[in-house]
Amino acid sequence: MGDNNKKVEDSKQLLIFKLGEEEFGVDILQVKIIEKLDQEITRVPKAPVFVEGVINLRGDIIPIVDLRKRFGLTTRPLGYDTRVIIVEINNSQVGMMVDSVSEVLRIDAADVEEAPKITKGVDAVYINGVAKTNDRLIIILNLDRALSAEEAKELKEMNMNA
Amino acid sequence: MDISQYLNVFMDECREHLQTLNQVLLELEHNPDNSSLLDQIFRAAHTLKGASATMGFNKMANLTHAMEDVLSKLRSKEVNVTPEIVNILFEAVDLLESLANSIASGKEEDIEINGIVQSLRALTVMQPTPISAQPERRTNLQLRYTEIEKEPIVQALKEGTKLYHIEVTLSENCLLKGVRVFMVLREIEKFGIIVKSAPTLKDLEDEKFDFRFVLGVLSSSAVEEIVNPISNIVEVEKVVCEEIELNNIPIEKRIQTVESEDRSKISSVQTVRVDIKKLDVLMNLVAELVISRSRLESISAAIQNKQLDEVLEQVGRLTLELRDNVFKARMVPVETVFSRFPRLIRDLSRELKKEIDLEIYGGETELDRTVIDEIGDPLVHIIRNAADHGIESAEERLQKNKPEKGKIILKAYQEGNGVVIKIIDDGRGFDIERVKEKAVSQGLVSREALALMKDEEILEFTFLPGFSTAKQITEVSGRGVGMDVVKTKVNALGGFIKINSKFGEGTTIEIRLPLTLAIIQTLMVQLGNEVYAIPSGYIDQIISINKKDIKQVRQQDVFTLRGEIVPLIRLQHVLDTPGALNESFEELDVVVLKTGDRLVGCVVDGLMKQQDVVIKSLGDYLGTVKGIAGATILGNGKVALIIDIRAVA
Repeated sequence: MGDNNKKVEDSKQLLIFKLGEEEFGVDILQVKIIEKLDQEITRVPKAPVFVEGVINLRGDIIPIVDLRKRFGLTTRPLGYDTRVIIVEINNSQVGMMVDSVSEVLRIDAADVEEAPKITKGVDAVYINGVAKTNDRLIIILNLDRALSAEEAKELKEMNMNA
Repeated sequence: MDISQYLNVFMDECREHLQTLNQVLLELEHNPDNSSLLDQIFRAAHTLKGASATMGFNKMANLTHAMEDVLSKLRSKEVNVTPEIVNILFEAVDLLESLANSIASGKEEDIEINGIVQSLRALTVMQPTPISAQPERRTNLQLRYTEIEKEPIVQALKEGTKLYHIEVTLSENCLLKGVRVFMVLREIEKFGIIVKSAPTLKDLEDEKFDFRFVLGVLSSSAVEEIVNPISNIVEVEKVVCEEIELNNIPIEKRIQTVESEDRSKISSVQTVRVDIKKLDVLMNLVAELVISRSRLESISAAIQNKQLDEVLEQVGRLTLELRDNVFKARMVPVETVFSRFPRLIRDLSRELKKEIDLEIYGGETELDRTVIDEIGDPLVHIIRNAADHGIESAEERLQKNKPEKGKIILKAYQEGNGVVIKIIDDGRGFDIERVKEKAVSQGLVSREALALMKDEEILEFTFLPGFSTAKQITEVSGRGVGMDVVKTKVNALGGFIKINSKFGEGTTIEIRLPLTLAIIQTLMVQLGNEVYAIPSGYIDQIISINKKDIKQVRQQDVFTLRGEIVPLIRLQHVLDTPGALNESFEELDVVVLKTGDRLVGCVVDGLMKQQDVVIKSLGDYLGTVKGIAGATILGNGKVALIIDIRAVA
C-alpha cells in the first residue's frame, strides 16, 4: 500500500450519502432504488449484528444493513432524512441504511486516490478510494466487501499478516 | 448459432416425446397390430431426430434415426412387431433418456450408443415377414372426400375445372418442412384452390407428417403448369400430379372413427408453455394486490363511504378470483408423474420375474408444479420396494391362496388442504416381529417400550437410516438408499408419510402433501413483541396449561399431555425476542407441535389468527437463518417470519 497517489478508478457517477458528517459514494450503477424508511423493520434472529432485519419492498423481502453498525460507528435513532439505498451485490438485493442521501456526482479518475489504512474510522478494506473535489472528501465504498461479513474479516487478517 | 437459449425448450420437448415413446410403446406391446400406435411412435422419434440434429446433439440424432428406420419397416409391415423388437425399442428409449439427462446436466453426450444402434440396424435387415403382398404404404395418404365436400367439387368439374391430386415428396434431409409446405401451398394458390389435403393442412403446418403429402386441387391449368413450379422449390424431391375424373372421386368411408376420436382427445386441451418463473412473478404480484386491498379496506373503514365500500367489495372478489386462478395455473395433474410407472412396473416384472398389475386412480388430481417435480423419485423408490420386497413370487402367492398376479395400486385424491397419494400392494406385508427384533438389536428401543407401542408406531422404525428388514439385497431395491431418504424428501416438501401393513396381506404407504409449496396455512403467534407464523401442519393442538403443572426433568421444563411427558420450550429464548416474557399469568398458552412422532410444547405470548400465507425466501444475502423457514408479508404490509419447526423444536 505504498503508492498513495495511484489512480484507482475511471471517471464515474457516484451516489453521495452521509453517515454523520462524513460523505460516502457508491457507484450509481450498483444502486437500484432509494427508499424512505416508512415501515417497521422485521428483526431476523441469529442474523449478523449489522443486519437490522428485513422489509417488504413491493413484494420482495429485502435485508437491511445498518451501515453505522457495519462500520462500528455510534448508532443513532432513525431520523427524517434516513434513507435506504437498495443495491445489488452478487445478484441479490440489499438495503443500506444511511443518515441521508444528498446527490449524484460525476467524479474524474484524476481526483480519486487510494485510501489510507483507516479513513475517518472506516477500515480501508471497505473502501475503493477517496475522491477530493471542491474541498470535499468523499469516501468511495467497495460494496461487495462493505456488505459481506466474511470477506472483510479475511482481508483484515491478510493485511495484518502482510 | 448460439443454441443455449433454445436448450430449455428443447429439453421440455424432448421429455415430452420420450414420455410419449414410453407410453405408446407400452400400448404397442399389448396391441402389436395397432398401426396408429406405430404412427405415433414414429412421429415422436422423427421429431426428436429433427430437433436433436438441429441442436447438434449427434448421438441422439443418430439413435433416433436408427429407431426411425426400424419403425418405418414396422409401419410398412415389412417387419412384424415382436416382443423382441419392442424390447430393443425400449432400450433405445432408455438410452435416449440418459442422453437427454446428460445434455441437461451440461456434460454433453458421454454415453455409448453404438451397441444399440447396431441392434436396431440388425432389425431392419431381418427377414421380411412373409405377409400378403401389401400395396405400397402410400395407401394411407389417399384423399377421400365426404359427401358434403364432394358436392362443390362435382359442381366445379361440371363447369370445366379439373381436380388434381398432387403428391409432393420432400427431401429426407429437409429440416424446415413447415416452410416448404408453405411454399408449395403458395405456388398452388397461384393457379388453383386447395380443397383437401392428407394429412390435414393444420398437421402440415405443424410438421406432423413424414415427407409426403397429397393435396386435392381444383384448377383449370394443365398438369405441367402445376408440376413445374412446385418441383423447382428447394428440397422438393418429387411431384406426382394425377387428374381425377368426375366419376372417380374417392369417397370417405366411415371406418376411421377410432383415429379421429383419438385426435379430438389430443387437441381438446390447448396449452401454452410458460416459464415457471413467470408464474412466480405473477403470484407475487397477486399477493401484493391482496395486501394492497386489505390496506385499502382499513382506510375505507375509517372514511365510511358507501360507494367506496361497494367498489372495494368488488375489487376484493376479483382479487380473490385472480389469486385462485393464478394458483390453478401452477397446478399440474399427478398424471405427469404417474405416467412413468406403467413402464417401471413392466421392467420390474421382467427383472424380478413376477407378474404385477398396476392400477392407477386419480391421475387428474392436481398439485403445484414445484411439488410434482420433487415427488417422482420417492414414489419410484416406494414402488420398487413394493414390487421387490412386497409382492411374492407366483408360487408363493399360489400357496397362500392369493391370485397369481401381484397387484400394486396407486391412488391420488385431494383431501382438505392437501393431496393424498397411496401406494397399496397385496404382497407379504411387514413382519412386525422382525421389525421389533431389529429395532431392539439396533438399540433403538427397549423391549419394555416396544410392548407399549402400536403397530403403526413400530413400523415407523423402517423410516430410520440403515434400517432394512429385507433378507437379501436385490438388484432392484435395498441398495443403501432406504425409506429414510423417502421420508426426508416428503418432509422437506412439507408432507407426511405413514405406513400401514398387515403381515401376509400387504402394505399401504400413505403420503400427504400440501397442494403447493408456495402457500401454507399458518398460525400467527406473538412472541415478545414480535409476530411469527407457525406452519399449521405441525400443530398438534393448542392448550393452556397452569404453571403449577410444569415440572422439571434434567433442567428441562416438561408437562404431561395424554399421559405423555412433553418438553416445554420457550421460543422467545430460542429466537431472542425482545420484550419481556410475560409469564405473570397463572395460565400459559402453549402450542403443541408435532414433528414426526415427537411432541414439543411452545409457550407463546399471544395467539392471533390462522392465515394462509405466501412463503418468500429471505434471499441469498442472508442465506439460511437457523430457526427461520422464510418470510411472508402480512395484510398490513409488514413482514412476518415463518418459524422452521424442525430447527427449533
